[in-house]
Amino acid sequence: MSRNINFKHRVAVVGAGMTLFRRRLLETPQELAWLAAKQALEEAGLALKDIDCVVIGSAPDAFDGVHMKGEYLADGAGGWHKPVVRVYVGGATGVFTPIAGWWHVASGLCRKALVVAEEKMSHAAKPHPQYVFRYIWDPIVEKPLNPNLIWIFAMEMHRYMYKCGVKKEDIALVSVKNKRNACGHPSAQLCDPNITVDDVLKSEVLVWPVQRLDVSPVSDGAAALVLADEAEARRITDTPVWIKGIGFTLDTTHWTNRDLAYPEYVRRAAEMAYRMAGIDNPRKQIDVAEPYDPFDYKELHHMEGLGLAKKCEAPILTREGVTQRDGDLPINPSGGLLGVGNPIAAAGLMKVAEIFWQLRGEAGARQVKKPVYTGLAQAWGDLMQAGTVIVLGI
Amino acid sequence: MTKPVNPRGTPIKEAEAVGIEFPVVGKARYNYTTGEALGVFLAGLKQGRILGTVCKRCGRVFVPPRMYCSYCFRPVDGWVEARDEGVVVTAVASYIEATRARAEKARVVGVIKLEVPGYKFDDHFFPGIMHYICVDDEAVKSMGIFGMRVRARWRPVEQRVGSITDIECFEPAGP
Amino acid sequence: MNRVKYFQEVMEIEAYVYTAGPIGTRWLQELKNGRLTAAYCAKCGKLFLPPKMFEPETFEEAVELRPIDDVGVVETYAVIHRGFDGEELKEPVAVAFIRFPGVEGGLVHYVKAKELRVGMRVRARWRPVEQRVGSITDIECFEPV
Repeated sequence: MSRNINFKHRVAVVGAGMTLFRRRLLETPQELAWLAAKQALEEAGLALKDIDCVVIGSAPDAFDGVHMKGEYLADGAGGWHKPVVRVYVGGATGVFTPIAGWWHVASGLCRKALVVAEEKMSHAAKPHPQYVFRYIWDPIVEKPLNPNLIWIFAMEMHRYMYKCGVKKEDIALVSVKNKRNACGHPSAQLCDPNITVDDVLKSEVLVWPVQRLDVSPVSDGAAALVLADEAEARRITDTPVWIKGIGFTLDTTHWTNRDLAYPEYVRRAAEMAYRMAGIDNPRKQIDVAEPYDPFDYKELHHMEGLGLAKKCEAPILTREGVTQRDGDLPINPSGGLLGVGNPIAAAGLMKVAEIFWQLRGEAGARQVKKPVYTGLAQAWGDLMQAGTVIVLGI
Repeated sequence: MTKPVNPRGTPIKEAEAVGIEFPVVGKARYNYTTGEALGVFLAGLKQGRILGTVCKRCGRVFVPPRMYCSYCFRPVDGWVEARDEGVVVTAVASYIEATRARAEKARVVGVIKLEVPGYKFDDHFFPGIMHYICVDDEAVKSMGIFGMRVRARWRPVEQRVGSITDIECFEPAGP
Repeated sequence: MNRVKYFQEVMEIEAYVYTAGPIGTRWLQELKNGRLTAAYCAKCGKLFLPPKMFEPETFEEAVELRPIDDVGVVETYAVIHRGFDGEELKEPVAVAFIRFPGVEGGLVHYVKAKELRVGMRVRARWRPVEQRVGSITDIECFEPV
């Protein structure tokens, strides 16, 4: 039993669903939300009328090209005439969405909540979806320099490489692992069973040290979960997966004033979640994890922020095979954003769904070798700012 | 059985997209104001000075400046002038434009940790700005750029407009 | 105010390309053929507009389009006198929300009528075949029956 005693109800995940993740999908954003929500409801054996409230997560309106995207998505997400809220913390949104769902249920406000995340990046077609990110920079001191979003990640990656003495070959191993893992995922956009470190190192240089295969793709897609309080969860299923801890923090937007080598924003969010879940040694107590990997170095960086590796140790664990599916600490068995794809908010929620399926033993071709009881998903967003962490357990 | 079972969605190619194109150029124009602190900062740049604010309670110096200390949550106590010189804490070489198009030539950009006479800073919080660095991209690839001392290359006075681009770039300052 | 410094920017990208979804795409093709249709939910028996692949109240899938009469009823309307930049229009433009008998929801479209009123029966005026592109504007406007 967790130390989570200050809340009215324990909260369980009882169903999950998702769409294919692809560069372009024909379905409208509402329809993508519906496909995922419908599958999650069916997995839980519920109908829409059983749902008390709906939580939607989606990143900038500027991708789908629909303002008030939460309101727009509501009927596809099952929010017709129900209490609906949309949450948004940049890339960290996907894990923040079930966190917001958790407090709806833990508080006793709702007994069963539908949690839906969607992104349709392909709509922002011209010149490129990347261009939308131009508007996250400071308009006065940064935007006049004509920045591309990748600059900031390249700067963080390079600082991490410098401080920890990490080579690009070590970082490329993450991309290789995740794109290979993705071959076991029915939704995956970028499965590549034969990819090698050499392929990554030979791919197009975007912003040194970032190359094309270091980066997750642009994607369309949606994912959904059904959450329930303990009494409802026990009625719905014999194998509920409990939300044991949640954590979220923001760092300052002034990213040029701090050291980028270590993700403080993740450490603080993880500490909050661990305190709630009663975890004091994450490396031993977390059996499987889905840290956020929009870039390959980010998986390493986030493992360290999460305390799953010591500072500068994640590349060593990766090289030794510890983070493979059959390793001692499987990391991103889904294939992550690098392999399954990156429809921003939906990608974060896909990670939570993966931990849910792993803990239920339903990941099939992706099921990790060791028995798993406790897992974690994490996302991050904005100008190296937002950290969101959720710990699940059976 | 592998979950998710038969995830749905209809993949399409770009050419197949029976899309409805909706141009937005020229529709929404923004006028950003500088606010108080950055207004003074930009006026300083026009005079060839890099200004910051200081919180005397915690001793933090803010460059770019703000009017409040976000740590002590109180107004800052005044202004300090940073040198137009510092060290590179991270840098990258960009081969693409903001539009994702290939750039004609590599552009080096990084974060410069600035010096402020009378203050010392560690790696965790420091006055720092992002700017272009006028060096070859090889200096980035070799990582020789880390810790390099650089100095602002200012535009001629008559070309300055009160913008971060009044500094053309930072260039090696020599030993 | 000339001492205030502004940084001008244009939001956000150059152009969006929206897709209409599986059933929406067929619905647009039907417009091109000069046929007005509505989405049909086999499970709940409802016809609804605009079409999408699910019926939002029952959450059931809709795959079928059924032809409907292109004659509807004005539910409400507004008359527009000024353009986007506040300029006076040469001729006011009327837009109406139009419902169709037996169909949930409806369409927003232009109506050209001398004396427009709520409850008026209106019929689609289709563009000539060669001008149709598979868009809501393949119907030029609605006009009194």
